[in-house]
Amino acid sequence: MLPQHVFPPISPILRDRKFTFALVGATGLHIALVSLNLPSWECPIFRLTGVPCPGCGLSRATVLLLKGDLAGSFRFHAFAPIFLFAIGALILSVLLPRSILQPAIARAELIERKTGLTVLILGGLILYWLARLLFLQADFVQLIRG
Amino acid sequence: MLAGGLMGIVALLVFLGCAICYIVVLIKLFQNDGLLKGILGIICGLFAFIWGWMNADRYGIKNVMMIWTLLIIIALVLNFALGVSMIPGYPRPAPVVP
Repeated sequence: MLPQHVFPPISPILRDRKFTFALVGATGLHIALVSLNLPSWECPIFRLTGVPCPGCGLSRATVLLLKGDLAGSFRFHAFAPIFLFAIGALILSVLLPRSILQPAIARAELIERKTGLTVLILGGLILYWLARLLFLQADFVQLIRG
Repeated sequence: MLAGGLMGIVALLVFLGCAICYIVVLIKLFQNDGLLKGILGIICGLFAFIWGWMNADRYGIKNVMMIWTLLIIIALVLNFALGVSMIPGYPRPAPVVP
């Protein structure tokens, strides 16, 4: 069990339909613009520092994954499948009726509290980002710049 | 040349404004919704942006969100219409040589 005051679970986000609807809409629009090579949301951290953030490359990796280019997707960001799964969960939370959704979210929250899955995924993402920055910095920055 | 320099300055100001708004929202996110959502806000700026709008009234950041949104729109217009990228070192459109 993880200390809940430090790591409150994030699955309750899915209960807030207004929030998930807005997030799905914004993410969908962003992914669509990226896939069309049109200007879209730019990472504020990369803009500010010139250093890619842990999530940089995820949109392009997701677009490549959706196109079936696994190798290309992995080159941009290894966490694209998890990101795609999260988008899927968000879409389901918007579409499913509350009678099905509420027990599913309760179960997800319980799993999250017991296993610390979100902490593991986010921790893994940070470690992956640090490894790319430490060992592949020039290639990483070049890849993100395009 | 002069127009390009002016656009560069505008782009710099827009990106600085965006960054300040983003940091303000991130601080609120960490303070009120915990570490994990804060990290999520760092990884996914869009998450922080949507969270900011959804909680703008509750945490008194409506003005920040309005400024941030306006700056994003300006950035998109600059990027789309003039090919000005706000990321330092980003490839600019090649000049057309007759």
